[in-house]
Amino acid sequence: MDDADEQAFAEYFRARRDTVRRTAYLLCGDWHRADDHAQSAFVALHRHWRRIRDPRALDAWVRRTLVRAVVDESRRPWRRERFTDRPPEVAGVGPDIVTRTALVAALRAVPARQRAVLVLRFLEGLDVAGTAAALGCSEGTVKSQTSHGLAALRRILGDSLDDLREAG
Amino acid sequence: MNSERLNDAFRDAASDAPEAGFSVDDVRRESHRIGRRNRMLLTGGIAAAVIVLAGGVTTGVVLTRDPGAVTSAAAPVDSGQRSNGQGSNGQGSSGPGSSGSGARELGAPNAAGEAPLAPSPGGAAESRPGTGPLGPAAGQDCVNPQDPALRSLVDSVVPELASAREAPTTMVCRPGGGREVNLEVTDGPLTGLFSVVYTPPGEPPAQTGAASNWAMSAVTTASGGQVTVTSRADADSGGTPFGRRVESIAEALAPLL
Repeated sequence: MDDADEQAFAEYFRARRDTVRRTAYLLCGDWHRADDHAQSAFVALHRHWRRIRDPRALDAWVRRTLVRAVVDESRRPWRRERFTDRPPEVAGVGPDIVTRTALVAALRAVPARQRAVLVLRFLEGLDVAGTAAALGCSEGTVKSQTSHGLAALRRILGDSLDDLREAG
Repeated sequence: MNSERLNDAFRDAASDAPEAGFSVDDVRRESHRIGRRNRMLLTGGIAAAVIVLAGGVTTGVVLTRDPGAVTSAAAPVDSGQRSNGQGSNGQGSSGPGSSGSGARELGAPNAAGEAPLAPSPGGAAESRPGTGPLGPAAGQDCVNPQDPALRSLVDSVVPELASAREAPTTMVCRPGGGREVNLEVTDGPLTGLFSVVYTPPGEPPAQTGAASNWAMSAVTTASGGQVTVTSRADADSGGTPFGRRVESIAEALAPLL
């Protein structure tokens, strides 16, 4: 990349690093792995920088890269996520308050694709169309994944997330 | 109200971020390191191809000059063509382009430019004299998700993928000299992610689980490792691209790896 491209990349990096890290964290539930995934996504972006002509597509490209990496990793045998009938312990959850720990733990029990939809919609604030574009799927898929993901969260967190019933 | 509460809960859950463990300079360094490594691998691949081609030509010349020699089944294309009909089937046109089996069923090209790495009907030994299977990536701590040498083999076995774009993936750092190629593919109206993963001998398979709208096949390779070919349909795709061919593709790649 020439100097102008490097400068543009650095500006994008500064503006988006923390957002990408937070998204990665809620996708994988661990800050160290989140940093690994986020850094890898930016490395991939740096390598493809000149091929992505539309600056408006950068965010979607990074999101898609990040989600794909986390979902793929969750299926790798040495770090494959295992689903269980026993919900994770969510100590510290009050009747109306969802603690950070509880929500992160609950998200880890949600299937990876559904978790990705929830994170993009409720952390990044994307609408259904934006989430569909970021994940490369249909809006119908996003809606159904949102519904299933919220249902899974409700099962784990119980009454503390009753308000989610109307959000899907 | 509820969506806002959800937004607040999610943002709060990710609000206690520790200091970032990487900077833009780290990203640039890693990007440049991967670029340099890929260029080296490409250069090495080209050099190997030249050596293979030179070996084939030399073999052909030697056999042509020796009227008593009989072209073996493992002789490269050039020797078969230049031996003036002395091939095992007695036809000057014998070689990869004349058979209907193996890679040819997959549409493997017979273009001269792809000859060094193109699988012949008889398998890797015939098409890569003196080189053997590709095997593990040397001296690498992390798997390259777009391994140039493996990409060459994949392109030669499935020419339709030669123009496929590299899929955006991140580096999966696992040791053992594995190789990967991840492509965004189109198969008629079908679209999806097509992955070829080579796992070296002794390493756990990289991909063992599949999901709906996936097609996957794993085959033991000539080097004792495993090649896993996976095709994943995009959500909007009507089916899995190359879904019915993953098994034959894996079988075609196995002798080369």
